[in-house]
Amino acid sequence: MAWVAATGFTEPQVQIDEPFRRGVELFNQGKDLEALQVFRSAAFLAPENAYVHYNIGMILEKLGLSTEALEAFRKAANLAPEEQEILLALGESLYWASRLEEAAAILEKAAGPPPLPEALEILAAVEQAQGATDKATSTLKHYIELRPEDLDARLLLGEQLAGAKRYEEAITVLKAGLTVNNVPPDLFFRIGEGLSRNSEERGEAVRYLRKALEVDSQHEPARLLLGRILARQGHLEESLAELQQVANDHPRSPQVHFALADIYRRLGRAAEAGEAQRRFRSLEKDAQESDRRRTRIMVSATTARELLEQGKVQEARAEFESILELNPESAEAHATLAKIAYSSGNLNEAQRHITRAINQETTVGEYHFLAGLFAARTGKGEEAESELRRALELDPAIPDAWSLLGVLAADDSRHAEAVGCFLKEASLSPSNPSVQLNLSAAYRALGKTVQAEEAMERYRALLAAGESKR
Amino acid sequence: MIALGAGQALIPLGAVVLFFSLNQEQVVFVDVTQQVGIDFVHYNGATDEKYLVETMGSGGGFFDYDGDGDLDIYLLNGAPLPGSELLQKPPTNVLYRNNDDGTFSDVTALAGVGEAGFGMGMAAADVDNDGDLDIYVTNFGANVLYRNNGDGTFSDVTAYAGVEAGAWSTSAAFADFDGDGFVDLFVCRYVDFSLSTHKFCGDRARNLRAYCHPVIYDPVPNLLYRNRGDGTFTDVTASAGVYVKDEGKSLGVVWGDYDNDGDLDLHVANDTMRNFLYRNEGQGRFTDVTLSAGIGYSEDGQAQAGMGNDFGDYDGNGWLDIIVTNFDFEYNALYQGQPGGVFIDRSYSTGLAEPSINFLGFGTFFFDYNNDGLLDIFVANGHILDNIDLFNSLSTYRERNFLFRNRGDGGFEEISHRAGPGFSREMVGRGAAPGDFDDDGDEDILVTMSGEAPLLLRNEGGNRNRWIGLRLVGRRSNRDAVGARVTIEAGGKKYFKEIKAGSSYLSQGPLALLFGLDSAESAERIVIRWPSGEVEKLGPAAAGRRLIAVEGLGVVP
Repeated sequence: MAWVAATGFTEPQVQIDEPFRRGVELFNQGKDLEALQVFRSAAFLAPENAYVHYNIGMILEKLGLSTEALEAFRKAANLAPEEQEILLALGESLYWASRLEEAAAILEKAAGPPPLPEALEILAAVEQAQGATDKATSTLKHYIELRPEDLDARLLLGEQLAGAKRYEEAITVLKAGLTVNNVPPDLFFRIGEGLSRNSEERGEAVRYLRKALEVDSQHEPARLLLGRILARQGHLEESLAELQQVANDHPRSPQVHFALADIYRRLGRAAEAGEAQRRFRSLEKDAQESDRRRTRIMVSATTARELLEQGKVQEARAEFESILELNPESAEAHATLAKIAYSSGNLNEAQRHITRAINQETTVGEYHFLAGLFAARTGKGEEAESELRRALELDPAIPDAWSLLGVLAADDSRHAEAVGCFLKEASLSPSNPSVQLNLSAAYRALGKTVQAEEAMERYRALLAAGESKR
Repeated sequence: MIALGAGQALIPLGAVVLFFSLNQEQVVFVDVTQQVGIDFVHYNGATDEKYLVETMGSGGGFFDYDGDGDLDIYLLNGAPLPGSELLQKPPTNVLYRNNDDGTFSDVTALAGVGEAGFGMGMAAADVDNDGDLDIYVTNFGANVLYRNNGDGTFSDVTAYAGVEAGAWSTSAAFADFDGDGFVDLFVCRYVDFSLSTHKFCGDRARNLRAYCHPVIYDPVPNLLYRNRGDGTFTDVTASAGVYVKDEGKSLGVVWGDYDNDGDLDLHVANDTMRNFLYRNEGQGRFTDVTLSAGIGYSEDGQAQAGMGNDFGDYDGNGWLDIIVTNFDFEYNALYQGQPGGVFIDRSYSTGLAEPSINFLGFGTFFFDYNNDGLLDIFVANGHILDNIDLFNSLSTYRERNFLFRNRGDGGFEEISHRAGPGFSREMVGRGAAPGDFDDDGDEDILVTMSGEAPLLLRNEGGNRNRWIGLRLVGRRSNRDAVGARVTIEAGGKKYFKEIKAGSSYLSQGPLALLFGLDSAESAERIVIRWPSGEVEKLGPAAAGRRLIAVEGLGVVP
């Protein structure tokens, strides 16, 4: 996504110039939460400023709070419905939220005129996700006309056209990318692959495959295809040399051993053919087993999440346990089982599971937060704080972690620290009344009665707002 | 251009030649399903749950159940599942008797073969050598063996015979693999799917449900039953060397002597896993030679979604070739048999692969639709996802079928668009079988569907070329000579066919053979290699006749 907007130039600047500038500065320094706090204050001052909300959205997106980011972009878009950059951000956010029809409508608008290539790129992805392959291809073509140097997009378009059996068009599109500097080996490979379909163009296909290998001598698909084409042309020894090279570079590739078995057989080298076959079978079995496990885990995880959403906790638990049978070290399964155990009051089991999750995935903030939560519930304050700090180091956008850390600090009479934590929590969860209550108590403990009262006012206002919604 | 005379329009020479060759070529297939009285509509039990079994379809086939010389039709049916639409009457399998006047009558109730299980496929052969054809029905659930009582009725002898199988069976095929004169039975089994372990598959974010990919299920081992000759069978899967626990997901099976050593070998089409080729070693044992034979995978070593299969010698080199249908964005595979029993993937070079890439093939068979002596190929297509267009706009649920004409130069030409109205319809094709149901000397086509009426296509024009029919009656061999190889020499050409009881996908063609002779007035020589091993040489025989050959006695009047 784009950087935050440097200015909110659509609105009168006077009141928020300085906070806007400050927010951008903090963001550029990597102080995302501080930047967020500043922009939230700016939004309070100038709620009609679209770019304030846009910037809030950008920061929330960076923090991984996608749902909140989407709401911020929507606010921005409502205020500035013709601003393409804002529509682009909203459209992309809707795409990642799988709200494809909405995303498509927004992105079509964002795409212009005047044309905004980035919107076209995402629109093509949306159309592809909707299964509208023809449309996606057409949109991607339009994008590439505007961004001819984007070779990744060109490769994707080539793949889509080949999938639609528009082979000549695919080759034309790919070849047009050869004028760019630093052509990646994949581009040469795809051209070669496309040409190899036609027996009369195999010579040219070989030329492009060799070019791919000049750029990257370890490009497995290019050398494998080269080997196959040489075999089809009857150059068995040359083919064998290429395939042996692939086997040296990528010994765990099942396809190369399959191809080697065929060549050895045709050369009458039965023993080597047999050995290649055995190797192929062994690798193929491993690959299939891995594929099978991965797919089953994916399906089970989907089922399990659905069961959780339906409140069928025990069935969800069984499903996650079945995932552990397939993959005993699945961090997601352990983490979810930890949550389920915690909600059932079984802290020991919860701690056991979260420890295993952390052993597998040490850099997931949420897991350290849970570890901190369980430690706090068992009275291990120091351990809890250590885990919470680690969680927030990895992911500063966990409001509950800030909240718990603040509570632990307050319990230990470190009220200034507590205030800092609650302020960060408030910037992430501005509509949560309880954080204002905590903030008020912490200010009061510091003797800052004015700030305490202001926080209490905000608490009452949020409570009332919550009541009236109900 | 040629001038045809003053005042006449000039016609380019090329067009004249083309027009002339089209007229020579013109064989069309006409949909006569309703016209002949087939009112069956397949019930697939479709639910919002999208249980995998709903979409796999059911098969059917041609066989002469009453021994009156013409082909009857048996069609398998699905059954209700939890959440299925309620029906007034439970759907059953249906047997249609050929009335020999161009029409069929539903004789299911009379025959007693209207089983109400979730029917998958069929195979028909004379299991007890008593002179009439028995039927084996595969199910999602227990299978059924019907013994033909010889009086137009059948009896369920499954339990006595010991061939219930269970789990989810798909294609089945009879053949006498041990040469004892009784047909044995191979039963394909698919995956360990059950209603209770069914899962959500699809795009959760868009709330789109789809049928689950078979990769999430485990394969269930296939079964080989040896016929003891007393009406019972023994499970010899393990002792025969064809028991496989962790591979399979079998959908198609066909017997054939691919290595020309006189006994019957076995090809099994598997879904998302490698296919199996078992070489018969004699003494009741098989060896899995899939890899060493160069078969089982695509040409780049990928396992494909094998659905249906058939053996046939399309190139006339005297070695059986294999056709296997696959998923969309794969291709239908044609493996050319070579001397020594190895195969080469000729899918692309023969022109078979390219047209099939965006289609999902199921039932398939070799047959000679125009009686020119060359084996052509039929493929029934139809996707498995009824909402595929929501995932990929390049694919459709309903698809047209394929007819590939053998050009005689090692390649095929897809001519479906010229094969008549029967080929222009899009449908959800599943099983398929050839058979001359109207007895006019050319092969017609039966296609079964998922959730729709079947398609009976009558061949119009195929009999303009010469033909000869042959029914075999075994004496030392099994009664219908299943597994026999018949080689015909006519007009300087030589071609062979084998008698099969089960092939394609869930389907069965007739046990009598029909040979196209092109323009030859007679078959100069007919060589029969009986399953018993005896070789009989007959002929010459005039074209246009249906002969009956009895083992050891030659052609009988």
